[in-house]
Formats: sequence, C-alpha cells, structure tokens
Amino acid sequence: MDKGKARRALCSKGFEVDKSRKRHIFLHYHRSSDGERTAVNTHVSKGRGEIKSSALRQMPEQVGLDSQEELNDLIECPMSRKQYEGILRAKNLI
Amino acid sequence: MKIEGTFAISGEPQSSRRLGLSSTGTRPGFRAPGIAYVQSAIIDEDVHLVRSRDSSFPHAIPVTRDADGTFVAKDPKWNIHVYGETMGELDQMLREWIAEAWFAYVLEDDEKLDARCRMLKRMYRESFVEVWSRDGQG
Repeated sequence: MDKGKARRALCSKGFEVDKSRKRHIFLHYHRSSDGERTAVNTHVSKGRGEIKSSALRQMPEQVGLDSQEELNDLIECPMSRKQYEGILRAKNLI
Repeated sequence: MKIEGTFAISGEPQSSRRLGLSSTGTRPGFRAPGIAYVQSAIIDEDVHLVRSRDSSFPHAIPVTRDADGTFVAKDPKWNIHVYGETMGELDQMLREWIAEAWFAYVLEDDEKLDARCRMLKRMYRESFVEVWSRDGQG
C-alpha cells in the first residue's frame, strides 16, 4: 500500500496530522460531531513508497479495526467516515 | 503470544549539565527537583522530556513479537502501540511516540481533546518534565 495514498485516505476519513516527528508522521482521528481529537491514532514513516508489511499488520488495531480487510475498506473508500465512526463508537474508542 | 523480554527506557539524558530551565520554573543551570532520578530524555529538537520523580509511566513495557517477527510494544493505559523490525527501531519509535503524545495531548488545549485524551494529557504531564537545552531557550 502506498504511503501517500494511505495518508490521504485517512485524512479524508477524519484523521489529521498533528506535527510530523523525526521519522514518522502521526495521524489522530478527530470526532466528526465536534472535531475533538480522540486517542485513536496511527503513524507512517516519512518518505515515499510502500508501507512496510510490519507496519500494515499493526495498523488495523491502531485505528480500531479488526482486520486488514477492514483497513483496506477504510483506505480504499467502501467504508465511509460515518461507518468507521460507528465502529469506533461501538468499541467505546471515541 | 510469547513475551520476548522487556523494553526499558534507560540511559541518562545526553548531558545533564546541558539541562537548564524546566517548565516547572527552576532557574537555568540548576537541575529541576523533579529530574534527579530520571532515566531518560526524549529529545525533540531543543526540548527534552524527562521522567518526573514520581512518574507513573512504566519503567518497562512488555515487548512481544508478532507472527512475522516484528517487535511490538503495547500499553493500552498509556495509549502506546508501537513496533519495529528491530529493538533499536522500536526504541526510536517509542521515544517518538512519547514526544508526539506530549505535543498532541499535553500541549493541546483541553477544548480540542476528548475525555480520553484529556486523561492521557494529565497522565503524561504528571510523568514527564519538559526541559530545554541552553541553545533552545532563545
């Protein structure tokens, strides 16, 4: 999965970049109702190219999803922000 | 999942002699009372984060390896979930995460944070002290 594509997709689903650190960019999920930052977050390493497989394996859990398939749905667009937020609410993550 | 060992934040700040004014108001050139027993510094440009004396931040975080050998450190209480292909990478990642938590929670206005983030803000603020290097005091 391309890093830039993943970043853009996550930002379109409610994640915001706070401030990039030395080697990684952190993305925090902001609630749609009031824009408050939540504790749901993930990070990707800086630079271009593909996300490492080790990172991809950790991302679903970081963003509150159960599987790689769900993460793909979030990034590739079938899962809307509303649906995603419904999952986070059901898990009491936001 | 088998626990491979523990990861401890260890080592002294780069040079305690270089540590100056802390956010707690200690005079430049003196070490803040809260940093006498710290184990480490998290370096972000000119800012060091050091453990406060009565920090409740864990000294050691369990590290596991996933099916493909990636090192993973998790502590849900502190909202930590970092990983690395080597322990060195994990070490760097954990330090970056703490610096990020400082910026994302501690330095953020309460009104912009949800309840969980506000709780994390309190926890991190109570566990670390911000110290500036002399060069960073402007």
